[in-house]
Formats: sequence, C-alpha cells, structure tokens
Amino acid sequence: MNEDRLSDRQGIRIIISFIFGSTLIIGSGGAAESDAWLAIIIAILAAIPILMMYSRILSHFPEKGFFEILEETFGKNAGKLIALPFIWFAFHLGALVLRNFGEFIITVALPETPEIVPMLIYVFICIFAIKDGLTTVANCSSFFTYISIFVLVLFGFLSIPNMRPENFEPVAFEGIKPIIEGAFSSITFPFLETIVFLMIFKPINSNKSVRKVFISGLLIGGIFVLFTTSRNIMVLGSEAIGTVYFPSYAAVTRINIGDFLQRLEIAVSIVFLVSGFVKISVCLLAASKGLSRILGFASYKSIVIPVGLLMTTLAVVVYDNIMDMFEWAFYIWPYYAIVFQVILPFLIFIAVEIKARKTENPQGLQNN
Amino acid sequence: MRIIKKIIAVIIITMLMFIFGGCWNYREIESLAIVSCAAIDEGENGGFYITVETVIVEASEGNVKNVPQYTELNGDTFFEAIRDMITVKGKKLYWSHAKAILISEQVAKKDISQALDFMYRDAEIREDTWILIVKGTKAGELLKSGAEAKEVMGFKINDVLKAQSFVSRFFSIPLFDFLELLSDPKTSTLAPTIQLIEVDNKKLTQVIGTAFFKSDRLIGYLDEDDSKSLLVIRNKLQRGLYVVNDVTKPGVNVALEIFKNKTKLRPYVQDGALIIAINTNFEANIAEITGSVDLISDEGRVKLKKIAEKQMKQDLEKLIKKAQEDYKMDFLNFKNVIMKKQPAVWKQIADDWDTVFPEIKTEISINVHIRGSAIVRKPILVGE
Repeated sequence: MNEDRLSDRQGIRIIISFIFGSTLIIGSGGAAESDAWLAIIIAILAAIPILMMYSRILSHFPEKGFFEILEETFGKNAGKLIALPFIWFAFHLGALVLRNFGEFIITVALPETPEIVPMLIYVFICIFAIKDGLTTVANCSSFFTYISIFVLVLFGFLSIPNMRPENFEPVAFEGIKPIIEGAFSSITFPFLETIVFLMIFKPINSNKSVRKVFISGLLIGGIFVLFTTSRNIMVLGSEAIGTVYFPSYAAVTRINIGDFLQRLEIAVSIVFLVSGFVKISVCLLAASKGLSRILGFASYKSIVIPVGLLMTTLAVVVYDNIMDMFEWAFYIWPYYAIVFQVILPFLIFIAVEIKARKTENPQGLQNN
Repeated sequence: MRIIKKIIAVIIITMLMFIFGGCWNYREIESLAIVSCAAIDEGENGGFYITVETVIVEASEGNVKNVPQYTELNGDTFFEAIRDMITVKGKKLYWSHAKAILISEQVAKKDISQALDFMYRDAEIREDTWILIVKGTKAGELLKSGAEAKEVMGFKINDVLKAQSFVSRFFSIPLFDFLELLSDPKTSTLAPTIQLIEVDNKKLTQVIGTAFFKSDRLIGYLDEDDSKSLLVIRNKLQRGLYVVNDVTKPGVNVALEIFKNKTKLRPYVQDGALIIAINTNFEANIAEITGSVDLISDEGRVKLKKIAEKQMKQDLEKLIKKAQEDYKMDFLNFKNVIMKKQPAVWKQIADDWDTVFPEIKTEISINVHIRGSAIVRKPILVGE
C-alpha cells in the first residue's frame, strides 16, 4: 500500500486543514467567552503530550497501521473488538462535520434548500477523492492549506479597523473555571480530533517523523485557530461571541472598508469548504479502512460509497435542528470525545508498550 | 471501448451542466423588492404596523434615478407583517440593502426588543443597519415624507449617520452595537433620534439628539449638546464644532473646530469612595469669532483656552448630573470602564450597581490645544 504513504510536508498540511475544518466556523473554547484565547493556548499545550502518545503507539510497529497494531497486541478478535469504537468515532465525527457544513449553508445562504442537498454533493466529492486514495486528499490539502491561510490572514488584516482590543479586558473576570471549561472543550474539539490520523497514518519514515508531523500540524493549525478566535473576540466582544452561531462569519460581516470592500462574509465559507472537505475525507477514509479490516476485505475502496452515504444519513438524523447541534458540540461532545481521544488511547498505549518491550527483549522476560 | 466511455462521460457532464448550473434559491432581480428602510409603529391588537420603503430604479432621459415606493401592513409580529407584504406587492422583500430601521416612540416606550428580534435573527438583514428612534411623529409618516421629493429615506439617513464624525450632534449606533448594549441590564442603551421639521411649508427630516433606554424601554432624550458631551465621555467624538459662548465680553462666541479628541476614563478607589477620573484632550482650530476680540495672540489664546475648558467642564458635569441624579442611569459607559479596569471593585459593587452609580464621584480634567486659526491670523478688527 505504497500509495498511502505521505511525506512529512503533506502530513503536516493535512493535519492543519483538518484542524481548521469546522473549528473556524463554529468557534472553539466559547465557554470562556472573552478568555477563549487563553483557553485555546492551554488546550494546545495540553494536546502536545497526548499527540506524542499517539505517535508513540504508531512508532513501535514500523510498516503497520493502527488496526494491525491492535490485532498484533491484543490478538485477532480482541483487536477487532477494540477497533470498533474508533471506527465509530471516525464515522460519527465525519457525520457531525458534514452536518455542520449543511447547517452553515442553509443558515447563512440557502434557507429554503433541503439540507441534504448541499450535504450530498459535498459527500460525493469526498467519496470521489477517497476512492483515489489518501495521497489525493493530501495533495489537495497541501494546496488548500495555502488558500485557507491566505483567506484567514487577509480577513484578519481587513478586520483591523473593527478591532477593539479592550474587549479582552478584564482577563479571567469570572475566575479560572470557565477558562478550564473552555480549554477542555477546545482540546476535544478540534485538537485531539486528530486521533483519526492514528487510523490512517502509517509510520512515515521513522519515529521522529510521526511525532514531528503531529506536533507541527497541531502548532501551526493551533496558532491560526488562536489568531482567528482573538480576532473574533476583538471584533464581536464577549457578549456576541456567546450569541451568534458562526462567530467568524459574524466578524467578517462587519468588514466595511470605504463602502467598497464589504459583504465579504460568504468568502469565509471558502475556508470551511476546503478544510471541511479534508476533514470529512479523512474521517471517511479512517472509517472505511477500519471497517474493511474488520470485515476482512482486501481493499477499503469497495466500501467507501456505502460508508459515505451512511455518514450522510447519520448526519441528517443526528440532530433535530441547529440549537441541538450547538448544545451537543459545546456541552456534551467534550465528555463524549474524551473517551475516544484520551482514555482508550491511553490504555492501548500501555498495552502496546508492554507488548513492544516483550518482543524487543524476549530473553530478559524469560529470565524473570 | 475507451472512446465510447469518453463520449458517454462527455454527454453526462453536459447534461449535468444544465441540471446543476442553476441555483435552488434562485432569485431574479425583477422579482425582488429591494428594501432601503423600514419603519415600525404600534399596530392594532398589540401588533406592529410596518411601513417599508422599497427602491425601484427608474431611467428617464438618460438619467438613472432611485425612486422610493411604500408598502404598509399590520401584523402580530414584524416577520408576519413583512411576509404578508407579498400579498400586497407581489414581490418578496429583499433586506440585504436595508440601511436603517426607524422605530416610533410608542413602540420604543413599550418594548423595543420585540421589534428587533427578527432583525438580529435573520441572516438577510445586515448587522450594520442603523437604528433610529422617531420623535414626535409616527415612524411611517416620517418615512413617507420623502415621497414628494422622490427621496430615498434609507439612503439619506445612511449618509447623515455616517457624517456623525463631522457634526457630533447625535450618537449613531448600528444594530449589532445596539443589541449588545441592550443585552446588558446594567448599562443604558442609546440610539439617535430623528424628527420632522418644517421649513418653508416643506417637511424635512433631521437627525439630532439621542434617546436612551432602561433595559428595553425608552426613558428619555438628550439634546444635541448633551449628545456631544456623551460622545466626549464615551470617547466617540472624532470631529465637530464646539462653540464657546461669551468670551471676554457678552455676545462674542468662538467656534472651535475639533480635529481630534481622546478621552480616557480611569476608575480608582480612594478612602472607600469610587472615583472616575475623566481625562480628555482636544485639538482644535479657531474656526469663527463673532466679534472683534483678539483671541489669536498669546494672551488671547490662553484666555480662550481657559474659558473653553471651563465651559466644557460645565457641559460634561451637566450630563453626568443628568445621568446620576435625574435618571440614575448609566449611559456614560461607567460600568464597562470599572469592570475592565478594576474587575475586583466591580465584583463588590455589581449587585448594588443601581445605588452605587449615583454616588460615583468624577474628576474631570480637560485640555484644549489650540493648534491654529484657519488661514487668517487676526480677527476682523472693526475700527471704532
């Protein structure tokens, strides 16, 4: 499966796009209100050791994917069983991002269109790309990352006249608790969602390389999330941050330079479109790969279409309306996701470490 | 085989182009009524009476002119009224170009948030639409006063409000700022007022003065001078004139053209009393002197500066007194200043803010820097 091997640069960019995904549209760390920037910094710092743990799981077994590692460590059947929750997570995450996308389109642009129409069109593109393999998505994201960053930086500059730095004040007015809550929410969405990459990455060149890809992707992506969130706080103020559904969209609405450069808000969806594509594709790939492994198919490509369509179905039924979506994303998601993002990987990590020591050092173990 | 496949692909793509080339929510410009301004009055049975100004483009003799049209309807909610307007106009209203929302005094006195909720929620109305309170007349009547001159009220109001920086006689506020103030129960919301005036038997509109709200109810008005002081205290004054009355002798007024103003509010606690130091700096030109008095020379300038500073101080004190004693309402933004600069103090007083606010002491220091006297060195000296 040589085609699934990425270079370091491609790996970093695909992670950046993945982190941008839906985050830049629906915002992150909202619980902390005007201290969201602090929450995001804490979240990035806290995510680093966990991502190092992810890369260590991969690095013990060169030439093997995550699902193979599970089978190697826990035995064939137990390994498959343990893989199930991760496949579900990737599948579910893909559906949620897809729904975010659909909700965004019908809320800001096409309120009379059935939601499933933009979602279906979008998922078909993802299926199309994934059928060509991870490299296609990676190549796309190398290019898309530049587009996203260009749009973000451009809108950052254009927002300068609307910025009110005093919106940051007072720092930590409500105490430390909302900041921790915000950090918790922001670490699970988006930074640790990168666990999905565990399922699609194979050790790229060496141990160092996986770690490098994860950490640099996190840092670069995180800096832009931080940058955009700070921009939103400065432009909107803490009151509005809590009341609008799509803060970046609302912040860009206010750009009006000389009555000429205005009404740019729809261009924000460029970032969402291109990075959401990467995020959904990666989730789709992870779910298809895992499922085909469990079911014993030779290639995941045959089940990409059914998985993609099922994902769309889940996306349609998962929430009743946009209010539910935000309730879930901000209040329930962190507690739900932390199981897949930290607790399960940590247990696997311990098992993998023990297994690896045994195989590396069989003599020593026999002596004991 | 290959070629056949390719041909089929091309055929499919061509067909898809026709199917997907459209847009689900496709709207022809002819089928839209472009809204430039809306007026909200009290309706029957506790609903709203909405007047909407739409613009049609009329070409005549090579000129293209925007001509206003009016549609009026009663409804239980704002949205119901404007949706029902399709039954009158036959076109769907298009709100993205709406420049201003006029709200009548009566609606504002009852509950302004009811009228505004739809505008905040709907994606089509832009957040930077202006909010104005109509004083004296019905909002719809004021909106329709442009009919005779074929003047699009929404565009006119937009121009006037954007010129706030030159006149500084009202406090212009876009929808998003208005709602942000509205959401805070501890500060007062502000909006400019618009009224009809009569000149030569013609009705004209004028934006002047500021209305203020306690939570969602209109409480009172500030006149244009108080509005200017308000802009100074809230650090929103950019340019404008300031007239100093009776300099050195009665009847001699000096108009200062302000080029720059920066105000800093600094709260601090001394001996248990909360004090807000208001420090403001003006940069101004002498623009007009009505009377033959030497105010340009060194001595004259110092004198003028002192008198101007004293008068400005009195103006600010008058406004602060109005806020603290007459209305006991914080439209001066003191709350946010204390919260941002002294969060610890704010936590202590937040619950009793209504009783604390009137007790806050202020220290005003004003500095007027006269940087020139336009292009003339001397006043018009009249030989006596």
